[in-house]
Amino acid sequence: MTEHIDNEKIMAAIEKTPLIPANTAQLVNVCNDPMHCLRDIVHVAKHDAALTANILRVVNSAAFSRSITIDTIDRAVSLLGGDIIVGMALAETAETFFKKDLTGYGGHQYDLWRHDLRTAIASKKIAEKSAGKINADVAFTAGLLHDLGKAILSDFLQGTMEKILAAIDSGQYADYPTAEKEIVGVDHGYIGYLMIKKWNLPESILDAVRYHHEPAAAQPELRPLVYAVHLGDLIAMMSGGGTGADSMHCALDPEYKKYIHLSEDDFSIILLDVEEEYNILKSTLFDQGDS
Amino acid sequence: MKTQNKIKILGVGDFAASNSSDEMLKTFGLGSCVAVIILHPATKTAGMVHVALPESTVSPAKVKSHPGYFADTGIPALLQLMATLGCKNGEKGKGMVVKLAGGAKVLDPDNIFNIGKRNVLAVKKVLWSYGLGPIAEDVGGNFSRTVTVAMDTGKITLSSPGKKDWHL
Ligand SMILES: [Fe+2]
Ligand SMILES: [Fe+2]
Repeated sequence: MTEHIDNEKIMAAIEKTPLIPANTAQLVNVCNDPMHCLRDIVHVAKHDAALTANILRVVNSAAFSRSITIDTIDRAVSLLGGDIIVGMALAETAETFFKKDLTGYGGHQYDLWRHDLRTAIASKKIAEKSAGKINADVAFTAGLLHDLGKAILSDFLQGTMEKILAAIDSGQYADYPTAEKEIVGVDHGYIGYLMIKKWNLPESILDAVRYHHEPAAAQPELRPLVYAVHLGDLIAMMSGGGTGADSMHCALDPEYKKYIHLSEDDFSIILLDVEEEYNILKSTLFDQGDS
Repeated sequence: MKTQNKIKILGVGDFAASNSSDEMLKTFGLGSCVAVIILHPATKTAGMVHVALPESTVSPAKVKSHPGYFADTGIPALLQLMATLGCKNGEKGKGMVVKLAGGAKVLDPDNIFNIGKRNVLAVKKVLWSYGLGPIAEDVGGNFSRTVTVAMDTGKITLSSPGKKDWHL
């Protein structure tokens, strides 16, 4: 398959995506190892003074309402967990994308961050219900990055919203990502995948970002994770954390049932748990306009 | 919930009511959640609850901190709050005007994830138990809704990216 988009301007924008620090990539890869322990994360985080300072700031932030001050990195990492540490490192690296004004989707500044954070938490909660089949830390990271492509694609979708919505209503397009493919030639999943391809992340994360709207296209052994992000994305939209006009205009692939077993009640409880964890995390990882 | 320039912003599971004519109630991007808006014209009071799920039996532990999460506990909580502002629910719900918004769904061929529809049905069932029923609703569909209620006029404005604002 060609790894190219027939649109020079989009390709140029993708190529400008900054690389992530080696430390950040290493953190993601440590978490990807099913045998990893918190010591391994501490070991990497210790070598990054800025990250260490940030971890200590977050663990002591008001949102967690702790009664004592945590002053060692070991303790901080064990309290926060690997997913949050990776999230902090990525938030810093990709902040320009996360805070981008998604005007092409009718979204606002930080909508992408809020939606991606909700999706990250939801994907993790689904993974935690998979009896070890899906790595929860990886699901969190993949969820956090899943819509990064929108930060670039938004610029190329200016003025298309009304037309796309009408075309979906009339049945011309199956859903929003399909419309993106028809209009621009690619959907935001593929753009996101190209953006992070050089980051040295595990293949499972690349596939989850690329195929989160068409999980059946992912490599068979990676599908449980990709379906977790697919569902996590929908949960984020349902609970009100969309990125604009495309929210709720995405199709659910019912094949998820082959990989993930969720009862109606499980699903409801996840919806509330995501909301509560989101409310704690939203203000700690980023200093944003907030909402 | 927080207040910004006299706008009370309701997150998931929040409920609020007010009779200050210069205030507004607002909730952003309802997906499958339902906003139940209750107006009491006699006292110029408006209330809103942002319901996420039909029934509290799914997670009774959360009722205490967030009764507004569920239709069966959120609506009673809102009515109780409005009663403290002097809103009396008369015989067969006389005196109260109820409107609904939200309850959207994703594109789902099997309809398994249609919590939105279940929310709307549950909300109506609870309202009926108080002799109340919505006189207007804007529910379902595949889009998110932002709802604003202006206290002085009771006017309800809905918005969604890519659509012109409309009223309920
Ligand atoms: Fe997406
Ligand atoms: Fe998404």
